[in-house]
Amino acid sequence: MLKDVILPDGTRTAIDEWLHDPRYSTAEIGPRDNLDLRLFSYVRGQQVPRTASIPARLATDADTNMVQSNQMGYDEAFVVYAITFEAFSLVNAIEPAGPGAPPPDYPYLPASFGNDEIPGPLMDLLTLRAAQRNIVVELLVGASQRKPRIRETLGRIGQSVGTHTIASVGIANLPGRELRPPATAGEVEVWNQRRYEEPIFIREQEIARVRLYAPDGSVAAGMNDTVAGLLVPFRLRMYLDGLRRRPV
Amino acid sequence: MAIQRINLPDGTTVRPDDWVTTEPLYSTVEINQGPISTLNAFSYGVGGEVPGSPGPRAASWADTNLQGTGGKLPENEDLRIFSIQIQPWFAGDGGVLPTNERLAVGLNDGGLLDAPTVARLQRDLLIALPIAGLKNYIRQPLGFFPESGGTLHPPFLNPALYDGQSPNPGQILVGYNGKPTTTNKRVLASPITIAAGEAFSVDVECPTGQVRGLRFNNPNDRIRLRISLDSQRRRPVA
Repeated sequence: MLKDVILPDGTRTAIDEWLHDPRYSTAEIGPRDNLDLRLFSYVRGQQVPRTASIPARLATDADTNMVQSNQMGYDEAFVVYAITFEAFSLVNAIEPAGPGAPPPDYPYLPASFGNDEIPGPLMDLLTLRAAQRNIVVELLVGASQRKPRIRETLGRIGQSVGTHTIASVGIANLPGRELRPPATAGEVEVWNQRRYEEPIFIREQEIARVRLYAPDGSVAAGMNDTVAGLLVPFRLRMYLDGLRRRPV
Repeated sequence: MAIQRINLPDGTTVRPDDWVTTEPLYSTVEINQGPISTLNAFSYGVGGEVPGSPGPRAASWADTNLQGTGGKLPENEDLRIFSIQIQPWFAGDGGVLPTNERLAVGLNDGGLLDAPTVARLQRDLLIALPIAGLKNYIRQPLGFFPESGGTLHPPFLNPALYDGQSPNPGQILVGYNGKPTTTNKRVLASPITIAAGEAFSVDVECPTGQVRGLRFNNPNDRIRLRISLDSQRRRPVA
């Protein structure tokens, strides 16, 4: 296979190809915690960014596919043309008693973490609405750059990855224990993602990270969160959709 | 009568073929509760063993249309993949699949899955496509590849008819891998090409070791993932 070309002047050029292989990165958020996190800032085996009330854990490949923290690798580049996300509530569902009970969804969280009114791990409607209103997402490219290449509120970013749900009519009719409905950021369809007219190029080894923050402090800021546990902690996996250059 | 072979004056033999999109390649793997290792779709042909299945069971044409021993493209085919779709189904003895005390899908027919279970698959599973053992040409969470199919239906008006042994009659929350419509398919910005005879698979990986929170009522129950490669496929004309 042809991998390198050596030019007459001695310059070596590597043959590469562009693949549709988005970059994704995960953060975990407590709704009443102060929120200012950096995504795409870690690789597998490093800590997943989280707010104060969330216990620490190490990232797996399900959390991120970045190969270098905060930047592209030396042999790759990336063109961003869209952004989307998927969200999961951090709720350890209460299982029926008896043998064969499965391991909890989140073993690093206390067994009673979250709210048993939430059909975890589906994202809760009220928490998603609060997040869409209060979270701002910025893509910063280049070292020491302050001007973001993307700045969006989460409410403008559609969810093109997730679970489409259909419920029974009587889903919330148990007396005294109302089951809260799950939600997604729009229809879960492939075009339901924020696409940009001007793609953003991130060259090899260039610094790039996404800032996820709540300008008013927390996801719960300004929301009627007087009832304990009304808003639940959640996991956000954010995608930068685009083309990635890799060696052949 | 179709022309199957042309012999050129220099002795070269050329076989006419055509590119079609009418028979995308598909293959199936099965997910169990508990620890799972990487499952390789397209690693078997019709009649081979379905990875992850109880037994394991022999594959039928409903599981795969890859012919030969699997693990590679036949020598007389080429593939240009522009979309990957993944359809999850419940497959088992018809037992209840409770996920928590509030939601029990006791549906015994149709292979429906409850929405929290679908969300767990999307949260914990990665899909990778390695070619020729060189590298993964794509590797993303399962939800990135919507099923582009499925069953659209109204809410259950009388869930008690369907919920079987549910401890909570009246509650059903069915889930799909993305909105169930054929137009909801993720078209790759850069198609992926697999040459004739080239080794490939679609790997279902679980970095967390198992799909957490998954629970079946019967030991032979599984979640079946049918993976389709929407593609242009070069086949011999006859």
